Amino acid sequence: MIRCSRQAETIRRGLTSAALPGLVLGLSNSPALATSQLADNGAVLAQFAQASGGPAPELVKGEDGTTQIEWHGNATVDFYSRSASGGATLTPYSGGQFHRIGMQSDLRGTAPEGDVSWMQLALTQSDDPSLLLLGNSQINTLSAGRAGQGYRLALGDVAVSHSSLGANMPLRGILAQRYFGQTLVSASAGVIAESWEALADQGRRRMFLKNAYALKAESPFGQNLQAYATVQGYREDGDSVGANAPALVPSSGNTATAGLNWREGRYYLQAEGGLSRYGEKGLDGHRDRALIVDGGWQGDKLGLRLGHHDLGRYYASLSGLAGAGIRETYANASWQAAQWMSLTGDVRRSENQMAAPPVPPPPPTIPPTPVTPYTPFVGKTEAANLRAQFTFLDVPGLGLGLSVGESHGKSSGGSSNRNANQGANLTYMQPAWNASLGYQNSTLKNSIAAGSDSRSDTWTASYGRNWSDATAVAPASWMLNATASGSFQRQHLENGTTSTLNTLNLVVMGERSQWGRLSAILGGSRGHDATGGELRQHWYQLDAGRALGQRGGIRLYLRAMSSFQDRAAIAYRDKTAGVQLSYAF
Amino acid sequence: MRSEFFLLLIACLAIIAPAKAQAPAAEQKPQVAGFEDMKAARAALDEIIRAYETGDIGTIQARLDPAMIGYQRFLDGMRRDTANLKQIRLHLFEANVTAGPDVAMIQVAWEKRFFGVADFTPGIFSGRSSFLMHRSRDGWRLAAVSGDNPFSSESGVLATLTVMPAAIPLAAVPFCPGAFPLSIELVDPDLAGLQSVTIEAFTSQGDREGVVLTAVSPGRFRRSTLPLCQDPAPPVGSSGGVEIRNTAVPATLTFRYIDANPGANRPPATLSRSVVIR
Repeated sequence: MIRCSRQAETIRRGLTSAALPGLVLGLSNSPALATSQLADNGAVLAQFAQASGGPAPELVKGEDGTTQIEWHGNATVDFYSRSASGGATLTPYSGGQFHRIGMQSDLRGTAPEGDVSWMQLALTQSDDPSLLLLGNSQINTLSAGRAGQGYRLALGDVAVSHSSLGANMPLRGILAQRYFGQTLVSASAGVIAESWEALADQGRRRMFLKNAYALKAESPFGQNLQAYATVQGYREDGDSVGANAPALVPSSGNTATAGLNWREGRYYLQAEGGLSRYGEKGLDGHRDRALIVDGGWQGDKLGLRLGHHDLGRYYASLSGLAGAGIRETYANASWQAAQWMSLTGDVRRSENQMAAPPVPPPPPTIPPTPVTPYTPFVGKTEAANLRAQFTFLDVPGLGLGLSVGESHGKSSGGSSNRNANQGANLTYMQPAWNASLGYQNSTLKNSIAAGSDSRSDTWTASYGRNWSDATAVAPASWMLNATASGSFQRQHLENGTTSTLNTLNLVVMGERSQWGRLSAILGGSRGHDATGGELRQHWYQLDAGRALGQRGGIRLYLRAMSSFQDRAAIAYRDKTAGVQLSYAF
Repeated sequence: MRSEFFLLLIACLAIIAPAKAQAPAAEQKPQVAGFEDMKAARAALDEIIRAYETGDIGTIQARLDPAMIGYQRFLDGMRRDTANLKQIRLHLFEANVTAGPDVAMIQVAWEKRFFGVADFTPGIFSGRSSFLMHRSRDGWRLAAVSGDNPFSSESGVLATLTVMPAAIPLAAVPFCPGAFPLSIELVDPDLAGLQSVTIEAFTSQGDREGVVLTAVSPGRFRRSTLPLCQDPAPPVGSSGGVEIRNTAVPATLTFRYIDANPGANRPPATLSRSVVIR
């Protein structure tokens, strides 16, 4: 981090208009910048100008004499060699010599009145197809903006978070928010695209580009109530993808919602309703609606929550939270029943109108062929879950968790399913060591996929120990931690077959100041699948790192995994050895 | 739409322009998320992914908000996955992170590799997702998954339908009764566990048949030959074979599948592929 606050100057402009290439080049000059932890504005801006190849932001004398520029960032470079076998269905990795360069830059300026301007950029460049499938570079984050008392403006990657039924998604575009008195107005517009690279290059698109906008107005009414309204819409660009894209019809949607947040004493309520219009190009449109209500009461030891969600199958919004075709009602309670016991219970009834349908037989031929209407398939589920947590006052560090849950589902097509699970977990923690023992049991039945009906039993156990030279008055100069864990799973299928998998894992981590740190993992598993075929896997990992000066670091790593080598059809393995250099500022 | 976009862009700038003349509703230091926030949100997501891979659904359940829309569908789908799919490995790549003061949105491409529980047949699904992470008092929580859902094979992933070849010379089609080597593959993770699926085939000459594809791994259905033949007589519907009237070519043979839950908040979608016979 570079922090500048010595001189009585204020940067009035320039931070948000800084050239991106300059920032990228600036990272490559970071060793020079790192020589000064606390530099004056002039030195920083001269370096900025040198890095960007353009004029530095203009400095204007401020009134109160405080200006703060902060520049955080880091760069990492990896070189590694990997051998891999098994093919793309079994492993994402391929063999060869690869590199990866990662860069992050977070430049901020804080004005005397507290307004913050920022520019953030993160980039990855690599020739490893398991990191970047298409192309060899990617912008991971690109954002710039300014925020202050009562307003916010953001450009680039913006997180639009207006409401549950309205807009709640990442957008590449602009976001502006401002208070008009007590009323907040928020507006955003842009494009929903897979990545910046897909936005720029049609060859890297696998989905339609979606042009979108969203508006929200929110205002308080009294001390306890806030109400808001939102409007948003989108349209997919049918010409934005190539011929090999999914055979879908571009769609459009418009939504209007209204909602409220109320809180008074121990009670609270959140509610929102929405209306939407959805259409696919060349087909009839659909109007639909949605309503969500969530409320509760929070006491000292007891908390109650109730809610109802009802979203139509064709409800089209810009919110990732608004899963269409869901109707559910739930009640949830958390109760600190005693100092040594807490309980959490949840019951709910759900209706899923998007459930996977049993495939109907084809209808009789009526030439000319009409379009088959979609037949809704509704899955109704009733579920209950209970969790209990116990602490034993007489044995400090000892804890027991119990859980039980069950859900029953039925479809309008006559099929049914059932999930049931129980679990217990006993833990004991002391300053120098800890141990745990757990058991899980689950049963699954599904009448439309009876071949996979099964019951599973899983046991887990772990033991960990710490060593260090820490005392009551001095921090540790070295530490060592070792954890051994195992899991033992057995699955009984309804057809009478059984599969098992037993896994053991050992993790050792050590660190000594001025030396560095080292970690090692060694593990393996044995078992057999439902056909009786033997399953054998083993893996190991070594990772060593140490600091280079105040800001640099070096890491060496070796990791390998070998799976099912005695079964040619499913055998795969990979081994990677590499070095990483890093620099943070 | 494009003009609306630019109008809104101008409106955004107009909103901000005289901002300093306005009094804020609440005096608060502006919050700007940094890379540390993004890193913490990604670490919380990675922890959920590891729990999913090892079948530790209880850990995931404890980190979900009970008010999450589709909570039970999400949990039931994950439990079904851990019972039906073994050795799940979820590989994320091409990550893009967008963060606000208390929200982080992680966009990634993913590949999910697994083995079917019944015969240990390897399988792979792929898709693109946006994970919405909310900051709560005890850290970052998963609020929702939009796009293709990698955690729950019944929560919505867009299917793919592939038919090869795209054109067939009439001379290569046998006379009835007969079969033609036509490769049809449907991948729909939402149907993992089903042994077969029926898609619809219809021709521009009026024939219409159901075509059964058999599961080769969970969610992947395939067949390599189709009862397809030529005859001078008009076709008979639902006869079990697709008949091409050889006196009226070229004809189009279309395969259609309705994906009931294609994800990305998209209502049921129709996928179709066509083959030209000439």
